[in-house]
Amino acid sequence: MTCRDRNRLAIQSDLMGASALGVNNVLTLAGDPVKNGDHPDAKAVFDINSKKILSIMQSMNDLGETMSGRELQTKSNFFPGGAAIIHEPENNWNPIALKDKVDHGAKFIQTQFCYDVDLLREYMKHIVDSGLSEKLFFIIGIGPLRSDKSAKWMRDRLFGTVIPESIVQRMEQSENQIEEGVAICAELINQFEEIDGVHGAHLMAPRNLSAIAPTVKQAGIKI
Amino acid sequence: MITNIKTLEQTLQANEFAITAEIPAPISASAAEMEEKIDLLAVMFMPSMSLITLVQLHICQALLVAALYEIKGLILFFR
Repeated sequence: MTCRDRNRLAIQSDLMGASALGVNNVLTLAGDPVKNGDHPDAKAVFDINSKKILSIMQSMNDLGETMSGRELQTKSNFFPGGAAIIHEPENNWNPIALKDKVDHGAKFIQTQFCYDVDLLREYMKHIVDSGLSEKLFFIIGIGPLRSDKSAKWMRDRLFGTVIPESIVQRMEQSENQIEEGVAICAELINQFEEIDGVHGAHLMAPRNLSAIAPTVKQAGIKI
Repeated sequence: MITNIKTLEQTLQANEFAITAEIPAPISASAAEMEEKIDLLAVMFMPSMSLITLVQLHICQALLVAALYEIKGLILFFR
């Protein structure tokens, strides 16, 4: 759920509808800039920010109230989440922004694409040391790359995406890039599983949706 | 065949590794596009896997019902 296209009335209406339909997992995002899309002249709303959406869900869950204090007949049961990007943590990095999301009711964090397992390991060490992994579930964004061109485009133009040169080179040198993208993604998911504080992987494959199923099979996640 | 469907919260609380997937809502709702998404969900409901999908609400409902009942063809009406 993003802040870009709806005001607080519409957002709360959507939340109530989601709750009524039993859809409880809600990821809150600011939303991509409209100028980057195919309607660059559209008005971006941003009546409230993503933290406010989190606190609305917190209020609907705990108090059974909307933002205005109006009582709901039934409390909601949302499982709210926020977004983050994986970055190199400085020595004294204090993940204030993530702590803030916890204070606003976030239960899980879903990250932007990260193909750098060493960087993720370092980042998660800080998260675990800060105690945040006890309060938030971390789901790491990943996906089967479609081609070396796609990898370069994501690395250079998709905010917060981390793709090391070694992955790009592996794609470049592959004779079947679709299969290589699936293999890389499955391998990384398996490595994510071993990192303390990582609770899952979120697969995104724009224009490469059919590669998700083989990726899942190849990763062989078992209960 | 369908033996283990859990919510995202249940999976995470159980300390199991969760796999979620972003499935964009179809723009054209063409038969081929819908079949691709249904196939994807069918894979996701293999009993040995713990998978949860985060998809847009109405499409989610329709596709989940289709996957649950192993419906191979699906007609969606959009208002």
